[in-house]
Amino acid sequence: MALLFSMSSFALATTYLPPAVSLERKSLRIINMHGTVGLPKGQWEMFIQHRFGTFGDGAYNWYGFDQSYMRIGLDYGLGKRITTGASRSSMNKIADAYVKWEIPMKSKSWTASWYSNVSINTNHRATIAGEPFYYSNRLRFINTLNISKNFGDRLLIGVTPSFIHINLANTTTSSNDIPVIGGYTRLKLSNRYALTAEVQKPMSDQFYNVIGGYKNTNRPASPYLGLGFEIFTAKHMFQLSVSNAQSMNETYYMVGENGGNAFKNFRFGFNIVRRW
Amino acid sequence: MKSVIIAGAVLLLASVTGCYYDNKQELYGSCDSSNVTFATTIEPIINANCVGCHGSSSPSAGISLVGYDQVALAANNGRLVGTMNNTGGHMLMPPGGKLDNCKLNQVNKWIRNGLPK
Repeated sequence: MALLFSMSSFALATTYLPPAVSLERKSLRIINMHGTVGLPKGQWEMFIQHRFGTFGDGAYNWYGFDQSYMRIGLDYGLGKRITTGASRSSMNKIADAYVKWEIPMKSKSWTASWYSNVSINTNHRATIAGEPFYYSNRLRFINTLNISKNFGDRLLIGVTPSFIHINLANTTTSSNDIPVIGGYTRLKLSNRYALTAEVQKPMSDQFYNVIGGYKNTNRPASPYLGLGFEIFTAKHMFQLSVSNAQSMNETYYMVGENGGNAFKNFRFGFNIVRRW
Repeated sequence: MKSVIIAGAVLLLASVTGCYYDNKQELYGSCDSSNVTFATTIEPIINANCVGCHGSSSPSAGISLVGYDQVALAANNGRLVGTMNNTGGHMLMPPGGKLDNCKLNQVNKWIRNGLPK
């Protein structure tokens, strides 16, 4: 009787999810960007990311494999709809923390979330700016509205308008606030494999700052671009990628601190994700 | 409910406080690459960003950047510019990320001007 009861409660707990979404629930990230789905309450996710040098580095540097930047982080499902996490990247010595809130949606195929992140550049003061140094010089912020839709069983497409704030811009004419538009897609091939892609670019060449009026966003000619291949094994998610971004932090790669779209500017990278 | 309040407070803290509209040019002056010499411009950059690893005792990769002679050696064989700009198949230095454009311009100018002391 007890066995029957436990079986029926198990059947209640497993609701049907479209495959594209179910794969979404194996990793919070697409390549660099966050998807809409958060962690269930009480679950942990650990991720390790690597980005190597560019293919243009040549055979002597094994086409970029001789150098790499890494990022390691931990995410936690704080509540039913709240996910939080922190990480450390070796590029620019960044520590960052975020909160993600899943917005309740009526439709099953639409999902949405709000993502808010603060990044701290922990480089030496002299590397960042001169004296007198202010702690605020280290900070960058990003807020993203993440909306995604399932098309059938296999395709997921997301749109991510973001707003980035940089505390210390370079010149008097460069903007501290930068609106960015982008998106991502995931095409599920089977229960184990999926193809992913993501793209990001600042929305406009100029943007109105609360202090200082219209300033240049230094929009790059070519957007951030990433293409990925996902392999889901029994417990781990491997996300192999080719992208033109060296930094794995949104507030750096989204505002164009990466290479152009020529093949020599692209680099190999991977994420390893494990949940428990 | 409690976690929602905590998360909301963190969100608010992250997005409201600590927001500044500063820029380097206004706070620290514009980039002066007109009169670049080793003692006034280059040595402070090297000391702040390189000597931590490339110091005099057991320097990384056997490359010391202490004093004019050592830095001039790295500048002459192209490694200084190559690593700082991450070009020509050189590994990026410092590994924490490229120096800002002002410092890179000053180093480039110093090399073009024939490494003035």
